Amino acid sequence: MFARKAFRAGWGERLGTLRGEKEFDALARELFAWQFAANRPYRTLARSLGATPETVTSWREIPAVPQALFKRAALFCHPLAQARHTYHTSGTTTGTPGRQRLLADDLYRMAALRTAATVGPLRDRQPLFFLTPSPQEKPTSSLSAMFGFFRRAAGAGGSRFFMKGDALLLAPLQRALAKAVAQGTPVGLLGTAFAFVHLLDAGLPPLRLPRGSFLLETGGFKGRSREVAKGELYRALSRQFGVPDRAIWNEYGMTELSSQAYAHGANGEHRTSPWARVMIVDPATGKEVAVGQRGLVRWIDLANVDGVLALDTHDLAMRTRTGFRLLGRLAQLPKRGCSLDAEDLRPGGKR
Amino acid sequence: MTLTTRRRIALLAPVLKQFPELGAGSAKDLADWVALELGSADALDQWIPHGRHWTRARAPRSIYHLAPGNVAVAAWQSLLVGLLLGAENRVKVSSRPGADAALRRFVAALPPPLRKTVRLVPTFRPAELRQAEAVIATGSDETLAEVRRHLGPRQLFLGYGHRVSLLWLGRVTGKESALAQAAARDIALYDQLGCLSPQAIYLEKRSDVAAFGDALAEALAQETKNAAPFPLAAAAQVREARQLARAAGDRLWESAGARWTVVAERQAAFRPGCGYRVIPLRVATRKELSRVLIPLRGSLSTVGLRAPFSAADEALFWGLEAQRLCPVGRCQFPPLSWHHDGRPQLADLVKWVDREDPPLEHRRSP
Repeated sequence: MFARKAFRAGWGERLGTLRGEKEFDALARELFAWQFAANRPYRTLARSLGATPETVTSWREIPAVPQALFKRAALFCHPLAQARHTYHTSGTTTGTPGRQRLLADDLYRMAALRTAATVGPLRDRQPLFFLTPSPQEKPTSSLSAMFGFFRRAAGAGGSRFFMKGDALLLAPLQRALAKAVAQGTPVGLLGTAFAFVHLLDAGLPPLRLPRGSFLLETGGFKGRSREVAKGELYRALSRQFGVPDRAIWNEYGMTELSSQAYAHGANGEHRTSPWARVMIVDPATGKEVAVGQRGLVRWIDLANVDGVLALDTHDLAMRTRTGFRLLGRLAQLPKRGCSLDAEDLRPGGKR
Repeated sequence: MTLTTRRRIALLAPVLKQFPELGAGSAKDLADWVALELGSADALDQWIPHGRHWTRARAPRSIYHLAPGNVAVAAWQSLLVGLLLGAENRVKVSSRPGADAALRRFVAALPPPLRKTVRLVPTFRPAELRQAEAVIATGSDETLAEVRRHLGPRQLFLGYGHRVSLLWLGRVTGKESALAQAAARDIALYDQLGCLSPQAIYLEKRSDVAAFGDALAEALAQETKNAAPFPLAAAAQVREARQLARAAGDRLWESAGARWTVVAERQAAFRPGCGYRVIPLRVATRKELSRVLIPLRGSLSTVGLRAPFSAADEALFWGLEAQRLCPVGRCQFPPLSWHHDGRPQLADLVKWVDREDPPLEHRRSP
């Protein structure tokens, strides 16, 4: 099935025209059946839960794998040698990265572009400035890959990656931003939350980006030295770049998946494309929580055909009537072993 | 007025009855412990014979304790040492909400003369730490390295770092319910988060893993029937551990909710667990065990064994440099006088002052 280019293209078209619950359910179960047959660790997990293509009667019953499984097993539906793209997860917790393998990046590209264009900020072609290394420099980064798709599909002249290794190319970025301001050209500035904090810390003079500009931040601060609360970050970005709160977007995605969700403004609700669903789940029961309750994010992503379509995360969210509100990463638990928290040693600091 | 050791013991003993986890049932227990480590219960208060002369222990005037927030008894133990030695104690409590409740309860139970020697501080200030004569900290190796960075060259430092404990039950031929109950006690206490909490159970090859898994599941269900549910973050870890086990094809016994989990793992290799009463059962020969546990050498704390211990078991864990061997079911209850991470708790904190007159032949303390 998904080994054939034509079938993948057809699947992409089916996702693009998907409408309504019934159709989503049918496609989800079709994909589950394929992955159940082709992905051994996933099949083992599903079987032990009594979930097979014959017993699963709704997409809500499709078993989800924990993110940590990507660090232990190859969750790939094709022979490993056929993986054309391999993206690495951060590996900050264990030091070992997980790997998301794709036979081709066609469906990842389709999902990323259509989602960003329909529920994200990618509406018009405009200069896009990326605060990450380029996909050529960092081929194992799914974020760089996605920004590469954005650049080709929606980036006007002057679009560029302003990071080399770990270093932000501050002077060229400043010149590019100043030029956009002088010419009144709206731009997009896209990067990790950490890169934006770094940019704020650089002490640039405040700018007023032309109307129609947007900022897009993604990812957290895992393993980094300075964390900033989301509201504080958005206020600082708004002051620094002269854009309103609603022009600051959060992209919520992960290496192990192909689709994303977007929210704008510090208190925005996340929305995703019709072929992806997010359930907020109680980890003690594995069941979806009621509206207004907190739980952990579970993704069902029908564009993620080469690995697994359902993923349990450690991201905390509240279920809302229309979607979900991301609350952040689950609080770190105290380490085992009569542990003192390292954070407790921040001089004069509180958590 | 300075209290003598015996007076401090008299004040502490009734309090410790309220905290049986510390293992001190009476004033005699405390006096015996001091005598065992310092040669005499009066070694801090008067000259005692030492070789051909005399000596007297000097306790640190002040101790800075960095108290762990996840296992109350470890914080109590640290403070008990300071109280017994007569030091002024400054305790940096965990900033995790609610984590210091048990420590505050302990301090509140102290009689005023002892309570006034304790100050709980919510904020870490390196200057305060540097003022103390001695520092006691428990935590990860990285955390201890961070503490060390703040120490002055003359400060005494007792750092209790990362340790792992486990159970080795040898060949288990059936349900062996009593053994399972003892193991469940070791696992369930402190939510399996302490240094002395077993992270894995090893059984010898040709054991009846299924039968023992059944028995352990029953025992854990019994042991945890009144336990409060875990918070969301802990439940998420338990769920993840269960899903990983399922994906590996391992057999699983589990409670409804996240209270306890037993996993019959196929691999004998040691892997750190997530705690929260998720216990792997692994099978290995003694020879395999001696190989797979080599990475734990130097950080293997307590090994729970069937009593009476066999010479083969003793040799195995002596070779692996385990710091404590105890019967299954006693992992969480070390005696008061145990060597914490292989070191004496009181003796490591005192300095000795020697006196060479009058000669010891006179047999009268100066």
